[in-house]
Amino acid sequence: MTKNPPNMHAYSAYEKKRKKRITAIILLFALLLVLIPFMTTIGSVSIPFNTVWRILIAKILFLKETAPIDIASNITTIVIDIRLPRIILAGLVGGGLAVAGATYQGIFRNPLADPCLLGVSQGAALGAVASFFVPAFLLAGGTTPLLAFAGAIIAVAVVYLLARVDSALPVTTLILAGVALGAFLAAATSYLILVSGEHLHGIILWLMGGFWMTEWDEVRTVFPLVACGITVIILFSRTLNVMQLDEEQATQLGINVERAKITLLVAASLITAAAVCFCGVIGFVGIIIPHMVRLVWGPDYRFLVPLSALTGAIFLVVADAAARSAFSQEIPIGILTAFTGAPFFLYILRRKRKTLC
Amino acid sequence: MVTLDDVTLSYNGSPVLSRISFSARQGRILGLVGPNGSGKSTLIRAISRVISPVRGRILVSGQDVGKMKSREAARLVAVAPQNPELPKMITAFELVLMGRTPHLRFLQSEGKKDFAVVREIMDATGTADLAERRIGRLSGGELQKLTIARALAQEPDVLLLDEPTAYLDINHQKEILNLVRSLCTDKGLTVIVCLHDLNIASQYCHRLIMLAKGAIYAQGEPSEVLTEENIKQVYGTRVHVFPHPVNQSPTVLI
Repeated sequence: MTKNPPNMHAYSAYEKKRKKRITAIILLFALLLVLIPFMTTIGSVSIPFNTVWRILIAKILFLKETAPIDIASNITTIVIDIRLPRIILAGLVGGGLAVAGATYQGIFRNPLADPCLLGVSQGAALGAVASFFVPAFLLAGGTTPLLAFAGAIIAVAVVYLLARVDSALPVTTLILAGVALGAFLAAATSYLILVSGEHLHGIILWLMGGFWMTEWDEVRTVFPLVACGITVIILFSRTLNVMQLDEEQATQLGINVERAKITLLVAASLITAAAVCFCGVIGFVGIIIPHMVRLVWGPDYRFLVPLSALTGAIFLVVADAAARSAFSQEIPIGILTAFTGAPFFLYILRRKRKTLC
Repeated sequence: MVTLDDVTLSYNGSPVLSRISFSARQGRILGLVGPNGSGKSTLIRAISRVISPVRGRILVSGQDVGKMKSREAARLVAVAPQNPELPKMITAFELVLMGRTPHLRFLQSEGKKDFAVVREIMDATGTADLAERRIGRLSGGELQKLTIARALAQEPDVLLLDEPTAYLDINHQKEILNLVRSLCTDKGLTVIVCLHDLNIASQYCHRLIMLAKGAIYAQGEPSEVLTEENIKQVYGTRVHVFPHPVNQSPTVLI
């Protein structure tokens, strides 16, 4: 036993925990930076790490088209224009969905909230599919993300209003409302596909999701949206901590609850929409990752948000590499995340069912 | 000092309290008593801005709470709620540290001063040895003391307590109430406390307000409010009231 008064000890324990989490953030960031070039070696054509490394160094140092002469230009194209944007997009989407999930869980004070379970992803998907029906002359570059975002926001607002009992948001009604709305929106999407006619090809390609069509253009659209959403959520992370108390207590502690809630919902839905509109509906990332992070590093949102972003990015980068190399043909990444995520979800449900009701 | 000026409070359109006016003075404990559903907790929620009055004004230190910013109001008024929902994974220390929220600017994290305040308050409230324990592992009484500690960490002018002794053993009841009384007289806190237990109200409050049917039925010193007649009218039951053998305060016996 120490001679310190006990809460002196609590203070130093608090500081020690903080340092450990900061170290974890730095280590995970380093791991992600190493993984990205490493994952470009994996695929239908296997490229030695050495080659990838030289291409990347050349690209970074000399900027333009001056790849080392002894490397075939098609290899350079595979690394730079096919694999790299795809991996970076997977990282952005994985990190974004994990942060969105953590945020929904925080706002709703509900460990099972997730963009998919709340119907937000399905709303974004419906918006994205609907954008194929917008007349071509109206179709600016941003229509798909814009409609996906509108779909996401409307879905989350409807679920919120449906599930609200007085001023509380009980778990059961929230999940039921989310699942029901999600099914409804998915049906609407199916109907749109059925009557899509000439747009069918485009929609099917989009729906198959995953990252196989990724080009730098998509990275350039998704990056600012996800970065913007995550930044807002990081700024509100201490507020999210206080919001883990009920809304009444948060108000009494000086939090403007309505404003914080709306800001955070918009930010999380923006991220979800950006992720969905280029990659289709990828489930369970938003639920597995924040839970793992909480189990390992605790519930403080100031660390939970960056740690979830990094862990989510790493998870999806690795899952995408598996999706395109582990099987005889490439499989959609949503299948992989569901295979790993659904059992994990059931495990959480089973372990926590006593505290859920 | 807290002043309610002709205040009407309602839930979903139906009034709970109509046209209430009273003042709570600095350095004094004002007790709210009355049967279940008489609006005691509603008053606490209104003063702490969780609900806003449909009529009238609530003034704290001369300012209208309805016109304050959330943070500003939380530096003046703190609440220890009854049976609050708390995250189970955080430690007691982290819970009390949340009381520093209204003192932190956007993006600011807790600093040395906040840790010092929390340490001092946890010592004063006898919660120091709980500091590292997880909330999910603590008893109702321990949580009660911690929510009071959290409210004190806000360093408020006005402290609102909703049934602070509901879960406590008699020794902890005395401990908490003596603490509240010394804070009140030494630091000049204004305390408003909801109490079920009429004898505790009689012992510890300087003044009492008895609520019934959406209005103030009686107010004044405990000896004026806690009479057999008032209790019969408000609670609908006959009791005996005797002077306390030591300090002469009214004591209610069934």
